[in-house]
Amino acid sequence: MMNANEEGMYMKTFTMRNLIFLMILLISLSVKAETGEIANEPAGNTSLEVLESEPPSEASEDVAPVALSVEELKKKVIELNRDLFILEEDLLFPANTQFAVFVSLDTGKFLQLDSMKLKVDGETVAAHLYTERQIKSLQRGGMQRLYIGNLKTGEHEITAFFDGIGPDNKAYKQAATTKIMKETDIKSLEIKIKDQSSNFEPSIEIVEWD
Amino acid sequence: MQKVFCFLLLSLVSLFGMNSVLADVENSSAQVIHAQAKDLKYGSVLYELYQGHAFEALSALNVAKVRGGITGHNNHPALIEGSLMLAYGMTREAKALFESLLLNEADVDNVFVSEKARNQAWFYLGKVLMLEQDMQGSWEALQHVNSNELSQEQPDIFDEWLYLKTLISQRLSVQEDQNSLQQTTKKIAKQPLTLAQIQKAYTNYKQAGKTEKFYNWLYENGEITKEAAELLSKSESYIWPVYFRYNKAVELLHDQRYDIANNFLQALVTDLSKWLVTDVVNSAELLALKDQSLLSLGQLQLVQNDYEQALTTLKRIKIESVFSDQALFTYAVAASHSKKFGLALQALNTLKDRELFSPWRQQAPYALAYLYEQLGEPDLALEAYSVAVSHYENLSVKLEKDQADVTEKKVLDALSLQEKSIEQDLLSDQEIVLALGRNRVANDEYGYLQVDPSDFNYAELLATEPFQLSLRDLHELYKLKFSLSRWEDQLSSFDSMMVTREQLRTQRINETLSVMASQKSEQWIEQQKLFSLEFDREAEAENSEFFMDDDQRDYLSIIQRMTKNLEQLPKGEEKDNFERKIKRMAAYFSWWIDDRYSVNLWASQKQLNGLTRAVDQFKQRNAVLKKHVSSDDVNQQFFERIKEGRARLSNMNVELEKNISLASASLLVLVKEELGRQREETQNYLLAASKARARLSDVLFLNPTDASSQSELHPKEGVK
Repeated sequence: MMNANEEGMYMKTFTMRNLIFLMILLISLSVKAETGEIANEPAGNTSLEVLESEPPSEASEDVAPVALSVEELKKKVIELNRDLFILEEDLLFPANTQFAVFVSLDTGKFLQLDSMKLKVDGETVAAHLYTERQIKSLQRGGMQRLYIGNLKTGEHEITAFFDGIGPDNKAYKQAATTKIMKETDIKSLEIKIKDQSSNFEPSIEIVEWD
Repeated sequence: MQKVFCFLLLSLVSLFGMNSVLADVENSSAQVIHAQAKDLKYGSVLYELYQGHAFEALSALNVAKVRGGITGHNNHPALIEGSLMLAYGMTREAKALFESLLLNEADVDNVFVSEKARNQAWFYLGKVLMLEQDMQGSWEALQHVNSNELSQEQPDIFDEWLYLKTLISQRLSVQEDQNSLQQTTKKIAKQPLTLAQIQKAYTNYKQAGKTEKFYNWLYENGEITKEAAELLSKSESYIWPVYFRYNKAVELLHDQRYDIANNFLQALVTDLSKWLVTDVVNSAELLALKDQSLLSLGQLQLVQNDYEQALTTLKRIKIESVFSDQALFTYAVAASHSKKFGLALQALNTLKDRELFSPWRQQAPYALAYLYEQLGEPDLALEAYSVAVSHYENLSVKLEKDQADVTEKKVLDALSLQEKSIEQDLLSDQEIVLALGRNRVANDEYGYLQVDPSDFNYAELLATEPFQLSLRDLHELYKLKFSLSRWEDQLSSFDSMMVTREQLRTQRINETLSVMASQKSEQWIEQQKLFSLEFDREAEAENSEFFMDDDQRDYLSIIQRMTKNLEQLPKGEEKDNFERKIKRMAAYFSWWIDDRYSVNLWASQKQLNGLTRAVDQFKQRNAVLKKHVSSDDVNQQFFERIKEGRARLSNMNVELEKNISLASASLLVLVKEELGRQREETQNYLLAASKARARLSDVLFLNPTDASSQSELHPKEGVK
């Protein structure tokens, strides 16, 4: 039903909520101890009485505008972040020279991906060591932007390498090379790592996107 | 008492019913989207989403929107955006987006949003509305879910859906009972069932092998809602029904139907003990539930004056349980009622020695002294009262000082933030420090921080909703501030970059101007102009010699050279012969150039046109170059955008600082109020302990032998 993380979060939240319960119980008990009321009441009345002591609602009302404001600020921050991202991209990677490489992983049954390396015209431009969470994200359909940079117009050689644990739990490496023609519009490539059912091995392929 | 139920129910709702929004969002998204992204931008969004990076994913989605949008996925990106907003705590935005998508009447054939995605979205919208306490709206959203499809496609969500509906229907029926609204989801009970009736019915249905009909019978008799009956009979999970059962027990306690509540809780504890053996994965959750149920049961048995049973029940709560402090105190009360003062003393001493939960410890010194008095130990009691007085005096002074000196830093120092696992490669240098606003700080799906008190004066306050909300807001605001901090540096680097670009540009302009100067372009343009005029003039005069081709020019040159040579020859027959020959050649030449005039004119015109075009092109390029030299639109636009970005960033930072101050002030108000309340409470303890000490001192002074009997005349100062 839940994975370990979710279960952990469940439990922690559970604990915190019960602290609320516990603490509210305490307030009433303490007050009654001071005034000596408890002695005149049924002893076990504690849990029922104390639960009526809810946190003061005024405090919640004080907090509400801040919460609303936080949501509005979040919206504004996301918009600002977006515009600054676009500015950054326009400035650093103009469309006429922009070159981006993405990585996708199809199921990954025959490969436990460890790392990727990318070479452009024989020069290493990007390398990445994957975390477990990133691998899962790729396996579920996410695409990682491995590299973004600038490339002159003309022909270029692109080579992608990956490392990992392949079939039979053995170290596995593979590479793919392709030649591309960079023109004056954005050039995007996808490095596709796929499972090949024909030989039960992973394969790598570089695909150009329009 | 109504508030009791509502509060507990709400706590449980927000805790258990909706505790995995982000996880759900991530999981659901996997089912919503196509296996492989058909758009690189969308793939990038999913990459961030599946890693739980809601802010990054939302930013990527927003960038994608500006960059032409996402193609090939219909409305699924919008659904993802709604889910991300939900995960990022933008519930109002998420609600608006979900509603615009799901209430789109144009999409009757579910073209833009598939039935499955639509189902899930209604489910999440229901959750959002529930989070906002809009129970009616939430109920309506959950009603849109196609239960058959959900049960087949996603049984785990189906169980949760049933549970949510159960809780909401319960809440709505409570409201309806109070407000006499029209719609009701719960049958009106003619007469509350007795324990015997319920037990008999259960036995009968069980023997007939129709346990599920038992739940329907409960519904028919107005004990539970229709949804609850459905949850109990249809859910394949036992977790959700367990939560419902606990809530139901609390409801029964609220209604003072103690026998049935007792039975409910005992059955629940039995089931939980059984499942704990077989379910290793959920053992922590089940154990916590079991302890909570045992505590409730123990407290109930105390209410029912069944002290021995209460002691037995409370003993089953593990000493390391989060409920053990509360259990210890309840145990001490039960033992005291059973006249087992030794056990009560032992429980209070255990509690006293604990560091956690100072409120319990506050009671312990006074309660200990009282117990000594009850045990007939007046000397020990007097000493204990003196210790209690001293303890409360010191505590009161400390609280007063704390209240006066409270600052945000002190409050945060008094809290121990929990750390969540995060990939090391994602940690910046700043992230190494575990502080408010950092990604490493663990929080639940609603942004509530997972935090323990390191100063236990804050324990009680920390457990309250307003403080949790204030803390969450402060954390979120700091997070926003930090999320923008990288842009401060980045914009500065953009500035440097633009300055460098400007310098390079100036250098290139100088080089270009120098080359242009060396080309003497003005002179060439003037020559072309003169030539063009001359061409027009000669063409008008039909000057065939002017338009001669190269062969003709060579021929003319030969004639001219021959004529010149001939002048140097002496007169005679030979010279005459040459002169005649040259005349014939000249005549032929004259005919030739006249004959070729139109051809030559056309060829010259063609060349002139080519030259004119080249000059025009040169002029245009020159003009563009001059324009570039004189103005710099591209760089200027970048300068403007950077400037605008900086201004917006600055405004945002000001706004954030303002909100941080507000949130901080709100937090401090809560802390001061809490410390004030604690101080007041401590003063009351101090007063009670002082009075008891004075009374006991008087008794001991006046008649030491009667002290123990005298002390029993003043039970009001004691704790039972």
